[in-house]
Formats: sequence, C-alpha cells, structure tokens
Amino acid sequence: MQAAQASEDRGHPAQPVPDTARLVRRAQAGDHDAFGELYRRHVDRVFALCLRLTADRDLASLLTQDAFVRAWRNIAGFRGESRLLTWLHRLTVNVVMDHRRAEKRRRDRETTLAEGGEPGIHAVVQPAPVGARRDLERAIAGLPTGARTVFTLHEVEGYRMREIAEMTGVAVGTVKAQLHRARRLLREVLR
Amino acid sequence: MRDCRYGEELQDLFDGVLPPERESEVAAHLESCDVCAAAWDELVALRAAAADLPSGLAPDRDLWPDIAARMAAGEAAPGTGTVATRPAAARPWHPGRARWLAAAAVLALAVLSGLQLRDIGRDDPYDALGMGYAAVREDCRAGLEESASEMPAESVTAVDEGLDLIDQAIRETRNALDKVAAAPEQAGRLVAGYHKKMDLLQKLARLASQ
Repeated sequence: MQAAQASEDRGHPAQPVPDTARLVRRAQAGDHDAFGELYRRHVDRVFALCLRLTADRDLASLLTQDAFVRAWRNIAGFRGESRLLTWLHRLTVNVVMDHRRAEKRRRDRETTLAEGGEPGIHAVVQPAPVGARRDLERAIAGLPTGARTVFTLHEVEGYRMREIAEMTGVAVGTVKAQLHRARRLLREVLR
Repeated sequence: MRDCRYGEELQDLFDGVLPPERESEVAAHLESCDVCAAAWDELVALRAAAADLPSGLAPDRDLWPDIAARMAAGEAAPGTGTVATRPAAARPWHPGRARWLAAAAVLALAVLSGLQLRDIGRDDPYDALGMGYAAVREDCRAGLEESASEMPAESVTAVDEGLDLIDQAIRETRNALDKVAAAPEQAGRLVAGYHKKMDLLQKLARLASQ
C-alpha cells in the first residue's frame, strides 16, 4: 500500500479508485490487497476509537490490529445493510470490551502480578486545565475507564445510551450515571 | 449542576431522555436558575468540543505489516484452505475439537512460559517462539476446517474470540517481558505467574479431553 501511495506521489498516472463496496466484495473473496485498501481508508478512525477508549497508544495499536484481523475473519458476514465504517466501529468496540473483560479476569486471578503492575496498560493521563481540543483529549484520557468509555461512545462517536448499554454489557441506568460523571469531571477539569 | 437538585434531570433534558411529564418543570427551572443555566451552557460547549474532535488519529507506526502477516498465517497452514476468508457461521465444527483448542492454548502458553530469564538477553528469542505458536494456532484452525460436524454459529464466534484472546495474551506477555527485561526480579515473577496459569490450563485440557 505504501508503495502504491508513493507511486501516486511521484506523479504516475492514478488508477481508478475502487469504491468501498467493490473492495468489500473483493476482500470477501479473499483479496488481501483489497482488504489492505480498506484498512488504509479506515485505520485512523479505528485507531482513534481504540485510543480514546483505552487512553494508551501502545494498547490502542494492538487492539487496532486485533480489530482488523477480526474484521478480516468475519468480513464474509458483512452484508452491507450498514456502512462498513459502522460495522467496523461496532466490531472495534467489541474487541476493546473483550480485551477489558479479559484484563479484568486476569487481574482477578493474578493478584501477585497486579502488585508489580504492567506499565502502560490503562495508564491515566493527567489532564491539562485548559479547553483546547488537545486538552479535551487529555481530559477524556484522564477519566476513569467507565466514564471515558461512555463519554467517548456517546459524545464523540454518537451512540445512544441503549446501544452503549448493549455494547458494554451494563444497564442503561449505569451508562447514564457514567455519562453524567464524565461530564461533571470534564467540566471541572476544563473550567 | 452539583449545586442544584435539578442537576441530574437537567442532563436528562439535555440528552432528550427526561420523561415528558417532567420537561416543563425542569425547563421552567432552567429559565430561573443561574447555576443550571451556566451548567447548561457548559454542557452545550462540551458537546460541541467533543463533536469537534478529529474523527481519525493516525497510529504511531504502520500496523498493516503485522495485520497482513496474521492474515497470511491464517491462510498458509496446511488444510486450512480459505478458512480466514470465510464467515465464522459457515465454518464446520466438531464438539470434540474443543480439546484441540485447549491443547493448542496449553501448548502456546507452555512455549511461552518456558521462557527463562536467560532468554531475555538474546537477540530475539520470541521470533522462534512466535513461529511455533503460529504453527500450533493454524494446526488448530486446520482441525476445525476438516471437521464436518455441526456447531452453532455463536459457538464458532466464541471460539474465534477465544483464539484472539490467546493471541492477545501472547503479544501482551511479550510486551510485558520486554518492559521488564532489565528487572530480573519482576520478570521472574511474571514467568512464575504464567507457569501457574499453564498448570491451570493443563487441568482444563485434561477435563476437555475426557
């Protein structure tokens, strides 16, 4: 993909850009290159979602990989009723939630390891007290996990509370409480 | 909002989830309460700021080579055919293959947990381990593919996700060991912890095969 991009940058004649539906059909037929193009078109969105949900760049990179591998494995099941990006988003949230549940199980069982800690995982970023865009990112990253997840999915990604409840496996009332908490904390930090 | 008893309902009104019978009272309160009016303005500003965040952020490095390698590994194993390109629901399954998966998980973790502190100082001891693990994983997938019996689609999905979790555990273990390579005491505790986990998985595998 990078080679193709470099070719375009050097001024070679541009090839017709396949539409997403065509790329999906090719990927469903096993075409790695087509899936690679889909990756290139969507990786920034998937990574942004992973990063905002985890507040950890290394972990977000790992989960982005997992999301695309899972997407590849399941792309034959994508029927096109929704946009590919919508499907990818939902799949990515599932990957992050699966990771979170696995982490919780691991921590519950490995208390001795937890004492030592694993640096970088769920690292909390200290927010800065001003309201610029970058500071909002930092402030979101500094939220507790539940509040950060709900705020990101609701206010940044536009999911409804009911949808978030389904994706995260908690009650709608819990989602609402986490959203209110997130807003209160963010307002305090950004005020 | 914390300073006013209408604070929670104000957010419900903001989100459009306030019961209709409460809307008029809360809206009227909002008109007369400076605290709630200020809070409302902050909610509006916060939502606008969140909506203004960039929808995409680039990762620090190109992730495609790793993804492509994992995709290729999924197709290269003998007997797998095009397993990685087919929907999970279409894959055949035999319930007895559960022990295949358990054995694969045990073997993968056994390989990993066999890593001793002395290995950490080598050029890259994980490469060989990773290749071994990939072979085990794809053997496992080949076993699934060859089976002609039925299995509910949701179970296949669960198995898929289980395999993903194993992959993830392997990668995170590697990362963790990389990070503590300079701290033998911590690394020793990690290895000891994974030995315990391997023991547990071995017990599970024995149960699955019975």
